[in-house]
Amino acid sequence: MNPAPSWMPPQAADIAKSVDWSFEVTLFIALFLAVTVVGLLALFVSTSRPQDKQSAGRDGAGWVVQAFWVLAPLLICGYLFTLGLPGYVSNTRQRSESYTVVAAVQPWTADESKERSEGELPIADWSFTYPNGFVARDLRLPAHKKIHLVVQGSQGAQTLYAPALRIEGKAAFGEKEDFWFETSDPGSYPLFNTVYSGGEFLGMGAELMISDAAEFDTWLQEVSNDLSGLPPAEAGQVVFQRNGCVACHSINGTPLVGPSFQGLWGRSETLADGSSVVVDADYVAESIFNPTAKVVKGFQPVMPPFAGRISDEHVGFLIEYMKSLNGEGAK
Amino acid sequence: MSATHAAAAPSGTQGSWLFSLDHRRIGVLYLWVSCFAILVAAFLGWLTAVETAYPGQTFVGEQDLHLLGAGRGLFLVFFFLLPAIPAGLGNFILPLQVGAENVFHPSMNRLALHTFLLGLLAAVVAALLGGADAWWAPLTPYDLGPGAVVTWSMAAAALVVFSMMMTSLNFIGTVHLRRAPGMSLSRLPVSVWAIYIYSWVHIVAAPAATLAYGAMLMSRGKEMPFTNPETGFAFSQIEMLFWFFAAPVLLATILPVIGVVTEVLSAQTRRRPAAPGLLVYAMAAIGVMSFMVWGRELFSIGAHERLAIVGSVASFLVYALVLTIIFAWIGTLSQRGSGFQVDAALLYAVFAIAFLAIGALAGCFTASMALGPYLGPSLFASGRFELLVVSPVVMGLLAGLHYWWPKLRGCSCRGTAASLGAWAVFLGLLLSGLGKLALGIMGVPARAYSAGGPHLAAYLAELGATLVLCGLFVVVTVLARAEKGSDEGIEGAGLEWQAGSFNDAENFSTVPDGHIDPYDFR
Repeated sequence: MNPAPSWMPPQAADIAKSVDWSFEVTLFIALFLAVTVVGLLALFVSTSRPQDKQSAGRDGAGWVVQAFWVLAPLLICGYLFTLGLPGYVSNTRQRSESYTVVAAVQPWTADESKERSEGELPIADWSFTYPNGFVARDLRLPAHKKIHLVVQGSQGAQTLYAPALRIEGKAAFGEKEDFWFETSDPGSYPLFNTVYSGGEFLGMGAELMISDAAEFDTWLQEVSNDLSGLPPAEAGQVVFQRNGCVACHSINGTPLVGPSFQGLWGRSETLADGSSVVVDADYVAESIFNPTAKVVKGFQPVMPPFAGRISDEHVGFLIEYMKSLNGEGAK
Repeated sequence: MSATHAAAAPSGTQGSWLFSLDHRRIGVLYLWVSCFAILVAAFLGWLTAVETAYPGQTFVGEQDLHLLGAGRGLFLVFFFLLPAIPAGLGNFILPLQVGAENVFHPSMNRLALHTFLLGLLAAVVAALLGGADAWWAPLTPYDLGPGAVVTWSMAAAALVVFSMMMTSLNFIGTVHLRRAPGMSLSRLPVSVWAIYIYSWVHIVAAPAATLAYGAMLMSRGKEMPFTNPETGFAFSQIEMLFWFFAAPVLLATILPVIGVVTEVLSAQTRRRPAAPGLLVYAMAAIGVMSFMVWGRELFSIGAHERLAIVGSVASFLVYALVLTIIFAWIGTLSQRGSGFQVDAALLYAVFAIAFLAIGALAGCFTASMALGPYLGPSLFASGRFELLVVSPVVMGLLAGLHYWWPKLRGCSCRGTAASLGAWAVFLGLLLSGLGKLALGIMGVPARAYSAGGPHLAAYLAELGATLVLCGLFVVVTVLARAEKGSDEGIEGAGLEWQAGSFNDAENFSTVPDGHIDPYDFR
């Protein structure tokens, strides 16, 4: 199929090509009808046709004409509907052996490398989680590969709008939407959030970068390896910041939206329903993957589930980090 | 003749306006508010177009533009689109068209007006308190949070919805119970049918909005059982409830336009509508289908695929019916008849038809299941809404005002200045709408602070918004300065032309004979 015309966004995936085909046909029919209707209006209004004595009194249209007025638009609209049906169905159909990336919204500190200073607000922005647990602020994808993009509802109801993919990923809190597509040639395309929900979401925006498969593998290897060389507790600290945990959980004992991590490990907590639980590896993992299952008394069930967005290995790092915070607290 | 009516509205101008039971005065008050609202919306629309066309800050910052945009939506939807033609023009003209002395329940009509003005007050308070900090439609869970300033704007919208419900009940009652003797349902003009069908759509849809607003207002900043996903509504369900109201009602605002355009087109060209029955059935079908269009909103929030298909089919059916109505109008125009002059009223009617056609065709893009996710979140959707709903309502209202101005003010409005204003508003709305369609196709998201580079389409949209603003000022000035006793204008054949003037205490000096043909121009 043809590439997109220069006034449309470039096609970053195969689904964009089928969408553009529907677009071109619809545009052709719509332009034809618009010109016809406006032309006829202009013609009949500018040239009024004075009364013909013979035909005077013959008011109204016959049933054949009326049937045409009803059926012609119905047929045109029916055709346009069938034209759009396969395009929608194809990008929501599961494709095998796809590379899964999970998109969500999370708080980011202004500068990831340093710890958040007192009072500095986290910035909400997109996060893209790769199968190996690495989290990035931009969406990098290998070229000519089958991709499974999951848009996960987290804070608010942000909508991931990707004009180059011709898709809109919208998910309410706790829900998700799946897309399957095959990427095209390398290139760089903008991603938007189209839902306004307060000032902290205004600066949201990310880049979709498609690069050669080999280049992509090298990049992911490089950025992911920074954890493997670190001691587990320090790796946990990086995971803690990168996944946005830092926005709601302090490390100095002050409860924020969620409990502080300091002194949390091994403590016995009272849950909302009155029962109690010891903070061990199982409870921490459950609270990350399914946060609303056991909520500690005094806190709201507002944490988004991280299932699919964080690997077991990284949960292990986080636990080591929590343990290390106990040691500091004892000092 | 109704005694209460005569007592509450003495002749002349001494009578009270705010507490009058006279349907004509109540209609005029609605028209003033609508006029104010469209000027506010046109100004804020111009501001948005300028900010989008140029990078960086031109007048206001990004967050402020969102607040102003929310205010624009509030005024445009709840104080212009909903009330302008039914409550404003309809209150004045509909009872005259059916040969009634007043609406079915005058004091409920007055209560509706007061509720509406209370809503306006709440909207102004919202503006003074820093704007409606959300879109005009709910954005749960954000607008339930402590940071959002939405209580007043939600209250404003809820009051207007409630007020329009009383007005709608009144119209239905008037059509059924207050027709002049001899006026059977088959003798009703198309515009009466249009407002009647619109009223039913509003009455069926409004409880959903009341429920959504009630739930949101009660749970602002607190935990309530119906906003807890485990025991009651999920957040998205409140949005769904709202759209169950807003999608049909906003679409149905084109029905009164269709009615007014049919009247004006026929009377001005002295041609009987080619298929009045087809028009009424098509409008009724649009009213019914409009309730299924909201499935379109479910396209992308993980709803079942079949629901999305229903929404797409319903949208396409609505657009097909709009095209059917346009074909019937062209059929009306193509008939032979006496020659006619092109006045401002006729220009507005023809412009409304052009907008309905272009808007319905633009709708065929967003209704398509393949194109919906691509164009739906972009400026294309805003352009479609402006072309299909906002522009026809503006044009339909102005067509009706120019056509019935002799009834409203005892003077007519037909000069060059009136036609010039009509062309300015038309070209402005067209450029603005088409510019947004083009920007949307380029992938510029809706509510974008900047179009992301110099785009001809963004400059055209800005030029259009400027033209609309200037044109509206010309139109309002021309209407306000039309001189009494200037030439009579073109009259229709309906009962409203037999009624007395605005200042008469009674609509009809004698009981009118309902055995008329509203389209007999011979």
